[in-house]
Amino acid sequence: MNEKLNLTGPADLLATVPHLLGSKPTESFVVLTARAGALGATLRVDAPEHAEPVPYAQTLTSHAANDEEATASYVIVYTDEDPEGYPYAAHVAALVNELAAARMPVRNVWLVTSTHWAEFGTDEHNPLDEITDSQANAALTYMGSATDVDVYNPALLGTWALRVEAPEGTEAQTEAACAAWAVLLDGTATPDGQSARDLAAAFQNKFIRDFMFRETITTHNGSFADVMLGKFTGRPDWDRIDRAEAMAFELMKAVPTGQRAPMLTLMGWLEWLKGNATGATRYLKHAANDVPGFRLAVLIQELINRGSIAEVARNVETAYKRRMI
Amino acid sequence: MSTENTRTDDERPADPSIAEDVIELSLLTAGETTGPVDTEWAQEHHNF
Repeated sequence: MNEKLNLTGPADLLATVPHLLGSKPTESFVVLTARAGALGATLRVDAPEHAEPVPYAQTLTSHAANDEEATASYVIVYTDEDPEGYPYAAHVAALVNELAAARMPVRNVWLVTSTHWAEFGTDEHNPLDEITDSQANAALTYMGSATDVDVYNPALLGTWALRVEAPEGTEAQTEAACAAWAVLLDGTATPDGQSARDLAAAFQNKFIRDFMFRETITTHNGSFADVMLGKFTGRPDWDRIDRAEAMAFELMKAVPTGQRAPMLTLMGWLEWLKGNATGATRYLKHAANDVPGFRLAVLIQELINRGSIAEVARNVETAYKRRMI
Repeated sequence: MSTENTRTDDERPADPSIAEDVIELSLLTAGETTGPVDTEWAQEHHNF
C-alpha cells in the first residue's frame, strides 16, 4: 500500500516503534535515525547493565551510522530502572554526544516505563494511553500490523508424528533435497505429508541442511561464508524468505519434537538476516531446547549475542522491510 | 573478549558442518557480548 503514515507527535512516534521492531521493547535503548521529515533506521539494543557509557554509546552510534543519509536521530530509553530519577543518564549523555559527533544530532530523548512516558530528564508522567490511543497506533493496527506475534508455537504442532530417518548425505541426495526445497519455495502450495517428511528428513543431515540453507537465498555467490553472514550479491527475494519461514513451520508439523531444531535454526537465521535479532533468539532458543546444544543454533545465537548484524540488514537497499501499511 | 565459543582443534566436533565452521570462525573476530541488536528500516512512506 502507498498510504502515508503521518506521525504528528511523540505519542505517534512511540506507538510506531513496536510496529517497526515487531515487538514492544523492554529494558532497551532504541535509536531512530531521521532524514528530511522521514524516519530511517530503527535500532534496538539491550539497556547497558554493566557497559561503560562511552563504549556503549560508540557501539550504538556505529550501528546508526549504517544509515548514511541520516541527518538527525531520536533516542528512546525503555526501562523500569530508577523510575523517579533519570535512569542511565550517563549513557544517554554519551549517546547524545556520539550521535552529534556522527552528524546525527538528537532531536529528542524519551523515557518509556511500564507506567508512563516522558521527555527524558523531566518530571513528566504522561499516561501510556496516549501511546496506545494515538492516531499512528490505530492506523497501524487497522492496517493489520501486529506486534509480539510468535509464529512458532509448539502447542500447534502436535506430537503424533513419527521420527524421520536422515539420508546419508550423498551428492545425489543433496541435489535432490535442494531441488525439492527450491520447488517448494518457488511455488504456492504447502507440501503434502510425504513431501514434508522427506524435506524434514533432509534437514536432519547437517551437510544437506547447510546446502538447503544456502538454497533459500537466490542472490548469492556460492560461498557458504558469505551466505551464512548475509553477504549477498543483491537484494534477496524477501517474499521467498518469508515463505521459507512458513514452509519450515510446515515441515516441523511432519516430525516430532527432537527433530525440529534444524527448521527452527533456519527460521532463527532468516530472522537475523532480516535484522530481527530478538525474533531470531526466540527461534534459536526453541531449537536448542528441541535438541539440547544444537550446534548451529548455539553458534548463531552466540554471534547474535556479540551484537553482530547481518551484512544484508545494514543497507537500506538490501534490508528487509517489515510490512506495516 | 569472551572465548566461550572459541575452541581448540581438540574440542571441535569430529564432523563440523560448513555452516558451523563459518559461524565459529566469525566468532573469533566478533566483539564483546552486548546482546542482540535489532535493525529495522522504516518504509519510505513514514513521515515525521
